[in-house]
Amino acid sequence: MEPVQETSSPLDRPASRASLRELAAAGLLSPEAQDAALHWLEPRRDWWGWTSRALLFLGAALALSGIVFFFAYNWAAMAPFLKFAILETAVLGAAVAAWKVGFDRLGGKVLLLSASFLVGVLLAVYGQVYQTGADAWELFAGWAALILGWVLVSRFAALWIMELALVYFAAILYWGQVRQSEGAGLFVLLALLAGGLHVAFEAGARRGVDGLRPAWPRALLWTATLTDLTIGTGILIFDPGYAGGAGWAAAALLLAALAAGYGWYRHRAPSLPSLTAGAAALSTAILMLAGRLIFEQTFEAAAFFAYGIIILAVIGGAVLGLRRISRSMEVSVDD
Amino acid sequence: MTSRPSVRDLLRSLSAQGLFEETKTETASLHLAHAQAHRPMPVYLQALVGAGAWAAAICFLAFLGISGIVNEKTLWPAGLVLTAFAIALHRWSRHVFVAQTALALVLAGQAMAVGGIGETSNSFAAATAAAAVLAAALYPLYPDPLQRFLSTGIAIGLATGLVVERDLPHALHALVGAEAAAALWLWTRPRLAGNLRPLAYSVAVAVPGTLALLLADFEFGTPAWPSSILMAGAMAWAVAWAARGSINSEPVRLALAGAVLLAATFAPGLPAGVALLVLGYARRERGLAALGIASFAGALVMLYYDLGVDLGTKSALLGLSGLLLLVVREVLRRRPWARKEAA
Repeated sequence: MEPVQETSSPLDRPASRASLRELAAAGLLSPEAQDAALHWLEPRRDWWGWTSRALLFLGAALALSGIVFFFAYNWAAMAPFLKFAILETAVLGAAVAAWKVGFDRLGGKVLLLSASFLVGVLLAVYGQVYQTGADAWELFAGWAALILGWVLVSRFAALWIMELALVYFAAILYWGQVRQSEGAGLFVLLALLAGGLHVAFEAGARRGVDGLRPAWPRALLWTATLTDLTIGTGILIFDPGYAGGAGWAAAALLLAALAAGYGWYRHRAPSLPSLTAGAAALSTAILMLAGRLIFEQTFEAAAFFAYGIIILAVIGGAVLGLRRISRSMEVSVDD
Repeated sequence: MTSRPSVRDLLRSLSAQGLFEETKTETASLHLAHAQAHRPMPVYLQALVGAGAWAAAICFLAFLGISGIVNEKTLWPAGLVLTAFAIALHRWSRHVFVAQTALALVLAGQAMAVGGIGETSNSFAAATAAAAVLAAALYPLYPDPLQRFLSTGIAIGLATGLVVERDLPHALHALVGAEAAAALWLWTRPRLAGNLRPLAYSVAVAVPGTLALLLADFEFGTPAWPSSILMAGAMAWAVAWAARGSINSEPVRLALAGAVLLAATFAPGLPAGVALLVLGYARRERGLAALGIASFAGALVMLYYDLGVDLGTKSALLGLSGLLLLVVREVLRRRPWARKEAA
């Protein structure tokens, strides 16, 4: 999500590469002036910082993958005690190292993420050694519960997203294995989880909480919330009997989320990408409804022609509205 | 919110340096107001428009097919007529509804023309040639970034398909080399013109796409090493360009050594991914950088499945590679140039 702000004169909007190109194309900036402006706008690239982060993330990901595959492979040859000893030492070591390095530093955050990941490996090994007969959802729920404290202190968006993914897995498996129920209820539950976290992230970012400032986790959570609600609404549209009351709840929540999202992203925290996600969800719901109404009647050629026109009208309308909104915003997107 | 300077502040600064005449400030304001009204849409809006246009184009094709208005013989002329109509529509008005309809029609028209020519001539080569000619003709005639990206992408995709259809697996190396050379040539230009960006993105996407096809388990019977060498060369080119040609510094020499090391893995997607990542980071193109990350991650997964060793060996290789990277990071952090940059 790019930052946006309401402005009047184009001169008072944030300068961007696009605006420099436009001035140069109009003959108002010489190549030298363009270079000087670019130099001011975009400081020199921090190549070492970038390489260092890439090596850290890639190295940690590969090392953790190696540990997972090691325990998946070396099952019979290794005594359970040794397995637990290795994993528990690794979890403790990573957690202590994260504390020593500091949760505010990237190295500390990645170490805490590694410790959280290894907790899941430990639980999986525990389940295999003792054959507890527990359902798979309990593994994910337990994993999510055990790392919650670290998630709270980490102020690391990636760890929050991992926590949400674990809760998602637990909820999906619980729905299938325990509830064994059908319909749109699962999507309402998932939307409430993602939506709740999204609201918390927005509030945290608004208060300037360190680690919640990056826009990508909020964009991901907003998109996940809308996707879940749109799927739930789709189930209601195509099979109301199967969807049940939860389908109506999904539709109502979708409308409420769209209204609240419009108010928030249009006026309080302007964001054209988030408004676009909302417009895409609304368009999808409308097109699903139109598709059902048309193709329920006939599959003749005229139905396809009419549906094509409706698609153009709905998406075109959404884009038209978004472009009108964007005119009062300066989106700091280059190209 | 943003911390960027406003255009006004920037022009004042340039004026103070004697690089801009302050009397032209109002003219600049008028130009910017006009240009911003016609600025291409952000990529997420273009994606929405593109998805809608694709869906509508499929509906129109279904309508034409079911209604019997066009048949096998009239498919390609009808496609060309539809394409011409779409060009006229696009030129007539840039209103969102008209532009969206024109895009749907030009996509449907191209599909009909290319499919029709392939069908009547019973030749994949003819269809590929038609797609290439249409993409080249539409590039200046239909100045829309999304259309340009899609039509050039389709032409490149069909060219790759032709190589496969003709059973010329070794030619895939030449193709991916040409795609990488074109991507590097475009992305390393001092100033990439706006009208070339869709083409630059098309060829950049084609590189990992063709590599994935080359390495997929289709028994093409061609070794990976020619492309590995080519992609290592591409990575070296990208690094040297990002270093502005000064390849004598230690970090650049290390990066070049990394290219050679990655070539030795016979996973050409790895150096290709790094090359795209370097170009994306240097040019501040998030789309290109994301493509580089996806290419690198995809190549790692393919390499993992192609290793042909047991799980225990794979786990050791993965774990040790990870540790090696972390050790390399620690060693590099202590180098004087890294300390200087970090400071």
